[in-house]
Amino acid sequence: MHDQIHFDLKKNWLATTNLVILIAFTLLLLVTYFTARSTADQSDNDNYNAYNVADDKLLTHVAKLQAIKNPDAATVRKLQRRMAQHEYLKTIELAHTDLDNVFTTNLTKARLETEKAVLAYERYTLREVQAGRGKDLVVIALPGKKTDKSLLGRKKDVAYYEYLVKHKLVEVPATKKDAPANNYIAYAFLYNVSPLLLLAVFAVQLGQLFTVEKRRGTINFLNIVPRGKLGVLTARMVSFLVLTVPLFLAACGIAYVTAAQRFEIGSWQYPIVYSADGQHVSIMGIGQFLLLYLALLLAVAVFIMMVSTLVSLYSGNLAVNIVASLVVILLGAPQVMTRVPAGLARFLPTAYFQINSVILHETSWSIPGIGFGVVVLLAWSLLLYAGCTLILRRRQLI
Amino acid sequence: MLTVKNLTFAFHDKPILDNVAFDLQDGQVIGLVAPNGTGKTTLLRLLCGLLPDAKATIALNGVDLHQHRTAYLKQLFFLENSNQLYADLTVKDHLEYVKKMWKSKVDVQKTVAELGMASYFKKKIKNLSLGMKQHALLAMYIVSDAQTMFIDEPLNGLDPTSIQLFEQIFAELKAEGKTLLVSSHQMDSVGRVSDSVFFLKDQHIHDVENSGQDMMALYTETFLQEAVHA
Repeated sequence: MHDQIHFDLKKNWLATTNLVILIAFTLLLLVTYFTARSTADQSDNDNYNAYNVADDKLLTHVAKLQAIKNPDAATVRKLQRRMAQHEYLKTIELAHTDLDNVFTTNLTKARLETEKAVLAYERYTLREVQAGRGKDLVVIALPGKKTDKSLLGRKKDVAYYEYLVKHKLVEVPATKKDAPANNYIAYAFLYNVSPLLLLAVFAVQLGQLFTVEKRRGTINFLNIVPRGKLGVLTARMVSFLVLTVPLFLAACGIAYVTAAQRFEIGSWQYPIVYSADGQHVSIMGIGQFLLLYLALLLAVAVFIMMVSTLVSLYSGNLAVNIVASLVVILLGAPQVMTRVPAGLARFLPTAYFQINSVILHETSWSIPGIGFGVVVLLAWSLLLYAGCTLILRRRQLI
Repeated sequence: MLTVKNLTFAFHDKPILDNVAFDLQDGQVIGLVAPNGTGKTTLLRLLCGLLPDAKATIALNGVDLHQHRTAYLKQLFFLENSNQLYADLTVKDHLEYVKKMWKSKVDVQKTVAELGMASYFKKKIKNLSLGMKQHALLAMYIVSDAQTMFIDEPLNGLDPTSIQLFEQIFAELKAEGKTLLVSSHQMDSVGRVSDSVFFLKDQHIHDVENSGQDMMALYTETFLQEAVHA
């Protein structure tokens, strides 16, 4: 097996496709960087607008309530709550204006003050939701972030700002174009690059690797090699992983270094908030998120690899192979997965293709967790591997 | 010894082989001769299990192709043509791979020297001429040290000196007890190296012992006159 892997790697490591794949991964991860170069970062303004919009909305409600003549006790209480919310938002806006103040010497301090004000407001909204008064709440809708008025949503926001304040970390908005490298790379996976697109690049590499011998006619040579054909096929799978995973990591590295050179590095401890059970909130650092993302991406890539391998046993056509993988990848799109019966989805490999949502437990379909997802993906991969084994045992040709 | 029985094959409706049976003894060179498109390469592919032939019995030294494929393949070497070499790999890569896969003890450097390939041993296949590729191909056969070798038109693209060298190598391999089934259109060469010649005609093999007769005349008699009459 070792000799076969060595030979396969020799055959493929200088292939032009590798460069194409590296460029494709890198471009995907640098899209935000290129946008940042051509346009100024507006995330501070966007956030300020979000506070303003929330406050304006609130003031409209306040004006309506104040216009009521002889209000009853419930209306008065509602008005008091709206006014309280307005006060919180006003404090946030005031703190935020310091960022634009030419006399502000310490911008980080000003940002931390804004965060404290936001935290106070988020704590208020949590108390209100816990008291069953969530209906009257106006939630700040920060651009690029899902607005969630539920109890869990409030808990998440509170946990997020508590963490930032406690660790004196400056908030890096999801839309920030000049985000520090750590946030840049994490946000690429969280918000900016669909995992399905990354998987599509893997599919192209797989199509190339698993059909090239049939297309070039060298497959007959491999078929007369006095070794088990499953071993030859397995060696090719290993070659794919040995070649493509480093290419992906290299692309991540290029994107990271590029962002770090132009912006800054940031903190590995920057919080990403999630809830594993839909009730309790947890926080993971960017480093942990990236590791989980890579692990799950690898598991999904292994599954797609098995699809490509199986197809390659029947067709040496590059287009057929790539299209087959892409069809499977598209089955993981939310539009498809939401139609799958709830009890079944968790057992399908496609349920775990939306890697970012899976890690944050934000899929629209029910899944038990990342570990379960990896087990499901590897179990399906093993099943397909067993299929390949049976086919090869029967016909003994790749 | 290679034993073949009940070998029948057709491409869709076109019959190629009909109930072919033959034995190849150790230490023999057998020429395989037929016009293009008759089925020479198909026969060689069938003997390697590259095409399906469920009903045939094909065994090498008692090892059945269908039942013990890996052990069967260990005893033979076949590479259709130099186009099946890996363009981006060097001659060295190919030879070392074959040596490992066939678990051969043949000295690669010695083979390279014998075939005069030292100057392009480390060159990529895509940078070689057809003749050089043919040398690389022959080197792979030698390095595999397989007992049985199916060689498909090995003299294509070779100059007269190289043809002489190849024929000498065939003779040496034969002397080592190897069995060579060599498909070729070069009838003079077939006449020089073969112990007997398989003429593939009408889906059957006609085994003709080489007793020094004019092979070209025999070829003409077997195939061309029929074509003229047709």
